[in-house]
Amino acid sequence: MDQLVSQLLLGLVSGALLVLLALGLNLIFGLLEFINFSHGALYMVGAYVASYLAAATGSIWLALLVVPIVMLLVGAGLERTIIRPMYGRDQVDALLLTFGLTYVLIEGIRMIAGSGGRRVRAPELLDFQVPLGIGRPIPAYLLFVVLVVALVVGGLWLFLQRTDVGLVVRAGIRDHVMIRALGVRFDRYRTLVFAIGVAVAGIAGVLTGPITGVYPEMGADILILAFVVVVVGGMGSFWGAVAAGLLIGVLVSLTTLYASVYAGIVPFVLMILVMTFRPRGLLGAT
Amino acid sequence: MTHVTTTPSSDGTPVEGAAPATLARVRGSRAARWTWGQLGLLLVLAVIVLFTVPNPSLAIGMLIYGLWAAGLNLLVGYGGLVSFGHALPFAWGGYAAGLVLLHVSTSVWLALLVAVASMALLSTLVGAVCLRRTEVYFSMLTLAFAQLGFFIALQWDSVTGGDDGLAGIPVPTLGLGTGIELNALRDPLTFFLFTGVVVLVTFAGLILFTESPMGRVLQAIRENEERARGCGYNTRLVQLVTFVLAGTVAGLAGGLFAMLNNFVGLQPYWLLSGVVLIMVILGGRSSLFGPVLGAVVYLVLESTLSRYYASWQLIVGAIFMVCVLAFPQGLWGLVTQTVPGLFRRRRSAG
Repeated sequence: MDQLVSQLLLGLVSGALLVLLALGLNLIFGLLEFINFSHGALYMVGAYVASYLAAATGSIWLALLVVPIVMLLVGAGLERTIIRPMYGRDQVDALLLTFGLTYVLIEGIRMIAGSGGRRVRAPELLDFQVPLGIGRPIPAYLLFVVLVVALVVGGLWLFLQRTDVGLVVRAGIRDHVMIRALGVRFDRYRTLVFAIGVAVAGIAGVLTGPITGVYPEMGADILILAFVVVVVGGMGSFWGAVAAGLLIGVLVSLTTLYASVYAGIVPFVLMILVMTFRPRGLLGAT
Repeated sequence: MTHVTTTPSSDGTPVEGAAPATLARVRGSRAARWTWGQLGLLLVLAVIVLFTVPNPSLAIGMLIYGLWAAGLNLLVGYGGLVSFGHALPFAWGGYAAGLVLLHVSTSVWLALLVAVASMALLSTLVGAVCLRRTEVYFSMLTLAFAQLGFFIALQWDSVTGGDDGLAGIPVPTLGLGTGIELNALRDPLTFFLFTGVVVLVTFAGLILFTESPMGRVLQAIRENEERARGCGYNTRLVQLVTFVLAGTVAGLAGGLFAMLNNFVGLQPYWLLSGVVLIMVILGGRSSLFGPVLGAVVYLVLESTLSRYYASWQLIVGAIFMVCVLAFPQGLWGLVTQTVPGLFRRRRSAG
């Protein structure tokens, strides 16, 4: 029982990080109409920036503020320079381009920081265990991760639902030809949405650092899981991504406890089931 | 920045409203000009590789990778379906051939037959799921299936050898009363010639498929699926057949690769989904010969760059990005587009 509770919480944490990546992928797909294959690599870049900032300042607090801004700029820069020429072309070309970008980013980081990973210390302020009454006490940092993810998800939702910019973004996802006809400068919204998606991936990178450390290939595995989350939740569905992310996190965590051999396979089995019986995803619209 | 659903053509002629076959030609497929000539090109390339590449295992590898990439291009170039999980059939073929050679018989034919037949079966199942949705869904699903296969290969170590892989695969024999052994170490020339014949025959089959009515429909689906469906074609079935064909070719290549190395394991096999895709785009997706050229160029780049420069993949990634951005038609596409133009200009000048 004790193990079950702590394992559930661990699953929730890894699921929450998946949610951040899947939401970015979803948002970018909705407005820019391509799957950003470099999302995992950008998450890794965010984590590396955070690891250097943490080494310089002694904790990740500053990184938590600075990395989203840096990644926002990186995202905007990438969209303006290399992704923009892809819009008139086949969807597949943008996918391939970001696939190439993944190679460049991973090898670039390897060249700068070496192939070995870097450790990141959790902030001292959160270096204690929280007793939950049931099960073993859990590190406060993990609870902090869940809290930050909840804040980011809530913030994104409010941004999309309650602001004028969010209104245009949602309208653009529905029908961007109409939005353009109404005189909206749509290019800017594309840049903004790509930058936001990348920044959210950067936040996930910062949060992951103290849990697993950072290493050049960290983005590859989580990207595949984020794809699975997007497919299972339903492409373009905000709460679908959240629900599927948490579900997969918890499922993997529980299988690790009871039948660890199958832990790696579980997300894919779930995905195959969903694609077979409900191809539009759990909460997908069409 | 206009956003029209049709793809702008390479030479700027308006393509909206044209019939699918014309579209394919405008887009640079040049099917009519290079159909069977590609077989000759492949033969020439194989002979060049045979006489110039000093490392026999690399030369044989070029043929195998070339075949694998050409098969993938059925999906990517002709079908517009980008598979990110083409390591799955390659690895499956490798394991299947390796297991047959280890436990059942050392016959080349049996090993390759099992690799190809089992892969066709598996491809049908995987394709049925992956093709529930196309485009980006398809890419993500193929990637997920490859990852699933990787985990199974890793965990099921009583069969696959897990992390260690299947080592010591016996040298296959050609049989047919000749007693010829396919030993890549002791007699690389025989292995090269055998692989060359298999690759050429399979390549001819691929050309036949792209020129068949079904291959034409496949290209029509790439240009406009709704229109193709409107013409009464079962588009999913055509795509599934293509998926199975591409998978089977990859299985064959994987089986040959297992015989070349006498080894099947996690390390080389499962990491190659991206590499084979790079080969296709580098060489050009508008023909079957392009990816073979891409495979040769990639392997030459790898074997020379990696000797001098540890981060050679950075260069490969950058070249790949430039390719997608500036030359979506790839190396071979570039040659077929510019060279005839040069001749024409010279003729009109003279």
